Amino acid sequence: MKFQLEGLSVYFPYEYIYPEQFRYMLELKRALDAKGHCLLEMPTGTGKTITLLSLITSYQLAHPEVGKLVYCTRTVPEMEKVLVELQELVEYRAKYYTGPGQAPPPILALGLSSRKNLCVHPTVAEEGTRESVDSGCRKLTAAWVREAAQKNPEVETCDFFEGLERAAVDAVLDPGVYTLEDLRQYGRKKGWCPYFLARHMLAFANVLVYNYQYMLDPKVSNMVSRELEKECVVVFDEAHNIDNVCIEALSVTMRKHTLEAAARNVLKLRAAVDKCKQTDANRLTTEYNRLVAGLQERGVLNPLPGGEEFVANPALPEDILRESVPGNIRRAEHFCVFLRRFVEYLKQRMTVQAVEQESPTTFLAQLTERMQIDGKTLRFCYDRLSSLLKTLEITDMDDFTPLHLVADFATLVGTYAKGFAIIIEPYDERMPSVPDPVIELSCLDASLAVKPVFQKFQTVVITSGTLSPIDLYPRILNFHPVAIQSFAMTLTRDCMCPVVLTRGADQMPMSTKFDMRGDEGVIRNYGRMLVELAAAIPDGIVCFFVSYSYMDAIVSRWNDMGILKDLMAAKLVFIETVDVVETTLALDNFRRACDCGRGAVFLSVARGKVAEGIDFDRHYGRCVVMFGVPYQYTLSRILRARLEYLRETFQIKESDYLAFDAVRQAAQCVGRVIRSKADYGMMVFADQRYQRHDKRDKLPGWITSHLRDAHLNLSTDMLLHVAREFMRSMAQPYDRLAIGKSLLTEEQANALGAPAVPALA
Amino acid sequence: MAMLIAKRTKLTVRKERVDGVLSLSHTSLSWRPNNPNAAQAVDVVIANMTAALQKAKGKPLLRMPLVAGALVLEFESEADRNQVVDVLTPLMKQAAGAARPGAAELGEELGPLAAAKQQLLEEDKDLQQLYKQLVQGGVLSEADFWRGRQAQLQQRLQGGKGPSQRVGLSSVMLAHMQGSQDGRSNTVTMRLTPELVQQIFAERPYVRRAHAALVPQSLDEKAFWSQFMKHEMAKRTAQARLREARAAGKAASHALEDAEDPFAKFRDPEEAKRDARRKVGRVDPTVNLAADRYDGFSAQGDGGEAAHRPKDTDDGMLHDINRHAAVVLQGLPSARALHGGAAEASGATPHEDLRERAESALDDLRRPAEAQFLALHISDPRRYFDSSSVTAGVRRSGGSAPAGRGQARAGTPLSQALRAMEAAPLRNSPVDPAAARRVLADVSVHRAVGALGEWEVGAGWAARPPAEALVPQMQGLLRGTALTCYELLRHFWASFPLTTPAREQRVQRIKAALCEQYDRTTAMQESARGLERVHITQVLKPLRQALDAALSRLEQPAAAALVL
Repeated sequence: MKFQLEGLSVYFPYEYIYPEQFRYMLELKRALDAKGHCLLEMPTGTGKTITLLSLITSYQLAHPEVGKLVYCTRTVPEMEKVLVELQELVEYRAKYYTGPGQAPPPILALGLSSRKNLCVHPTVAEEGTRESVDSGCRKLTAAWVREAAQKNPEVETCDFFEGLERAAVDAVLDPGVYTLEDLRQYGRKKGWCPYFLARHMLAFANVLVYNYQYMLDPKVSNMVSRELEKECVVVFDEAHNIDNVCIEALSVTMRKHTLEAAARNVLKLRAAVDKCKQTDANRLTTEYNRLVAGLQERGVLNPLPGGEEFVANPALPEDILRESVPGNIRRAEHFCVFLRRFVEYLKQRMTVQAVEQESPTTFLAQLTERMQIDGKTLRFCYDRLSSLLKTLEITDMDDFTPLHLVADFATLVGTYAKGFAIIIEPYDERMPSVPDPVIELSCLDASLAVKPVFQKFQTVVITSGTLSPIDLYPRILNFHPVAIQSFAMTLTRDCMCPVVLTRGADQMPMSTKFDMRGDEGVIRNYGRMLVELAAAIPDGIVCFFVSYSYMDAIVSRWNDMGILKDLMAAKLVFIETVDVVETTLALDNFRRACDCGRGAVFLSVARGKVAEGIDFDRHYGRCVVMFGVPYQYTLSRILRARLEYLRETFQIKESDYLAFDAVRQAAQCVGRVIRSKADYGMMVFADQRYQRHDKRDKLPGWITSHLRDAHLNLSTDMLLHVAREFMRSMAQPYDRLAIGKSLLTEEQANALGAPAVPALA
Repeated sequence: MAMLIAKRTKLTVRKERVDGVLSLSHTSLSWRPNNPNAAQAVDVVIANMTAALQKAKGKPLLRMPLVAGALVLEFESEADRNQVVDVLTPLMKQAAGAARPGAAELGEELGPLAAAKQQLLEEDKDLQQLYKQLVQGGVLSEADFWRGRQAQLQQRLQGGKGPSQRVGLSSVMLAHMQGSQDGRSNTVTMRLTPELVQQIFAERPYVRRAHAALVPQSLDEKAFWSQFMKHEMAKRTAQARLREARAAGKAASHALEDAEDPFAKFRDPEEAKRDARRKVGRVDPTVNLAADRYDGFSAQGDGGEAAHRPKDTDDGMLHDINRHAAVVLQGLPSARALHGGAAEASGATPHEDLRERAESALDDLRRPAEAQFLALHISDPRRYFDSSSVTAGVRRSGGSAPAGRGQARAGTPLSQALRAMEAAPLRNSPVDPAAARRVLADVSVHRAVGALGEWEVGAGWAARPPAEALVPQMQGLLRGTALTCYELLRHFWASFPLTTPAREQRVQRIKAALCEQYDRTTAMQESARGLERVHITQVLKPLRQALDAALSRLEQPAAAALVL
């Protein structure tokens, strides 16, 4: 339909629209008009993505002065979904566009991902990991390699990259919407490298879809998102975890083997410097001169076009010093010595017997005292290393990852005094007998990483299905939205059935509380419950556990008790594992098992990748079981440091934050099963503690409004009764006689969207 | 015909040896006595020689089993005999190969197909009846009769297990296969079936490799499997110990390595990875978490998520469960081969699937699909309806099928009413189906009554359906007739267009049979009295219309070209 929303023509690729979608658009449009940020919560299963895309692209059409739409997703699967929906929207728009000139305006939209996901080079693309593809690519495309290839045809280069370079300005993508696969196909067809083509086309695209990292992680965003104009609209979808992403972007973890490898890297670097001195001392001198001149800008460092670029500085753009590199690390040999000493110091710090926690300031003070290394030198560590690696023409970057981590650490410690903590742990508290020393530089303040985004871009939209309590987000992200709104869901039938399961069939309480989780009876009750649900519910069931270790433990106990065998009699069982490839295949098989009617159970982990980005819509998930309350590991030092910081800075109570965090994860997990109003699913919160008010109140409104009082304290047998009843009533044909109530027609939307009668001026 | 070989031989006739000459051509074998009075000449078609030749050891004798009795020849030397055998054997094979289709034509074939036919005939009395009547009665040929039933025969040949649904694997895992213990001794008894072995092979390729390498050279079957089972049990115990250790908070990662692994050298850790990588390329992009892992720039390396997780949680059980489920889903290799890898070649690529899924995501926002069915388009409706009524009316004009008129009369208002109805509101089935069925039953009774009107009988009593009203014997008779007629009609219409003389002949044959049937039905109608007659007429009506149509088709060959 095409309708008018306060004077804006909106193209929406469906015949009907949900009222909440309509209100969402209205809210979004007002925020765009006001050129401010907004925070919007809309229940899952109401087509958030298409609503956002539809409104913002229509807005771009009417207001050409608005820049790109930058759509950030959590995972690649989400990214693919967004692009496919956009494809559909664009097709629809092309069909119905009427406007000045009458020809539908071209739109270019593309997804951006790593080399590993985009490479079409026959051998490089086959490499196993992201890092090895990156370095394989650099080996073929770095400026010095290409230079050498011109003199010596024996040197191997990448045909696709060369093809792209030859095409130069002609290398453009035709207008259209490109998923990653489309980009690869296009690249193969034209003989152009899809990765660099996509990077090149960023400047011309109307819609960009990429991972959060590309916007939030300064290492990446300095490289990718720096060129974006101020007028862009930035959307963070599924943003309930945005604070954690921000924190991750500025945190560094180093283990013992990291430091050992870093020490080896320093030796290797030293050898390379010596070799370079013998063969081509000139190069090092040039570099030295450049550093003296303070030509720190990347463009100058990289005069030749090549594919070797490294990730950028880990500090935020405004915090990077625009000065020349300090004298004591300008010479390559000196810098190697400096690195060696710093690594040695870290190694020595790691040998602690008890946990140590300190602020960057104390760390620096000690460092100065013991090693005579000052903060300013540290700050330049990262850029100095990149410069040296380029000068030495080192391409196998993945070997140098540990040293990069150390340099990251040094630069961040040298740059930030506030909002960070350095934690040194000699062992994991869960396994005190296993020595596993870790040095962690943990960012405590989520607002640090996201601040430049809010400052730079005109409109930032933060949206998700679960942003409750919604007023907490502006505080922890430290921004001032012009619109905060949480939308309810209009339903003509109760297609959701959230229930709280508190007791097993034997009336014993069930919980994953620490003192209860190992209990034989609890484990058995959980298992029997799942077995009986598997027998009663058709097609797919998804289960979420609080952690990997808990899932592993409970599954093996179920195995010993023979419960797993009973479960397998009803449905096939698939499990999320640490290995992503295996998990991907398990998910694919799970879908096929549901498609063919055999039915399956997927066991997964809250906070895992599956909970983040995989939908279990329709028959893929008729029921989701949340085993326990997914609290973070509360004894973790990092978490404690962060809680302290939150309390001091934002006056947020620790227990409140923990409960909020746990419940949003649970809500996120159970929300995976509903993807439209015609869909239906059961949501089982299997823990005694969900019955309590402090947990329940933090659930988003679209769940609590369906949570009946009678369903707050169920035992397994009652649960089964409810489940059978629900499945039977929902499996009836879907009645579409809801137009006007939960669906709006084009006329109704037009009537609602007419601008209000302007008040007398 | 060219002579291939000729040898001087003696033929044993009633214990006497008669001198003569054996000669072979491509298709036949003949023996002529030197003295024409001493014995009769022998001529044998090679194609009829089915049994193998028998050579006597140490004597130049050859025995050829024939249908009429064996032929025993004595050659001059064994070399001669062998030469003849060498020439004859390939000829016999060739003839046997060529004879098969020919045999089918003659109806005296053997083998699975014939058995299947026999079985079908035995199981289906109606079919048997038809076969007797039509094939043995000489109206249809054997081949013609079975031509329409190829599907049934094929199904029967494939084992007759109904539609070709694949039998799946049980979901139960091998890890759950507990042996039985007798309780007195310390032995554990396990039972392995061939399916189970297949499954183990599919789930653990290294066991297959080990089996291929070790059995039977260095281990026998039993020893191999007991070694395997022992290893499995040891592994399970080790896993349990590991978990206990972990629960106690100790490092116990070495516990697994303690158990000696007899299959170590057959394991190929790379294989699983390679396999997985190959498969990951084909999964639905919306579940492709692997692609997600590869996303991003940050050189976190080992600092990523994996590092936050305790390393030794994975003792392989979760992996086994996933692997098992994948194998169950895929089915065993043998079953897959049988079904032509239908699962593999399931058409759409993951990206097309994704497209489809995305489009159906918010299905309820779309207008309901307008037309589920394709509209029937008849280029010239008048001709279509007219021609059918003409063919139906040919006999009617002869006065022998008055029922047709009744139908037309009763049918017209009904069809008009149907046409007057609009299709649009019907979508939601405005009428209760049960009520609709009652109305339909009513209408058909009225129609029947209308048709009966011509037999000056009252209404009321005819309300009962014929199935209840007729005696079972009569019903059986009618059914037999109908089956015969329909079978004949099928062959009749299948013979058109009449392009070859053979077809014309067949049509004439069938026509004769049809006429006979037609007369029979007339006789049946006429011999019946009163109520019974009404019912019989009603039952036979469609049949007679079909016969009318067929016969009229033959009577008007010129017009027929126009109608068809």
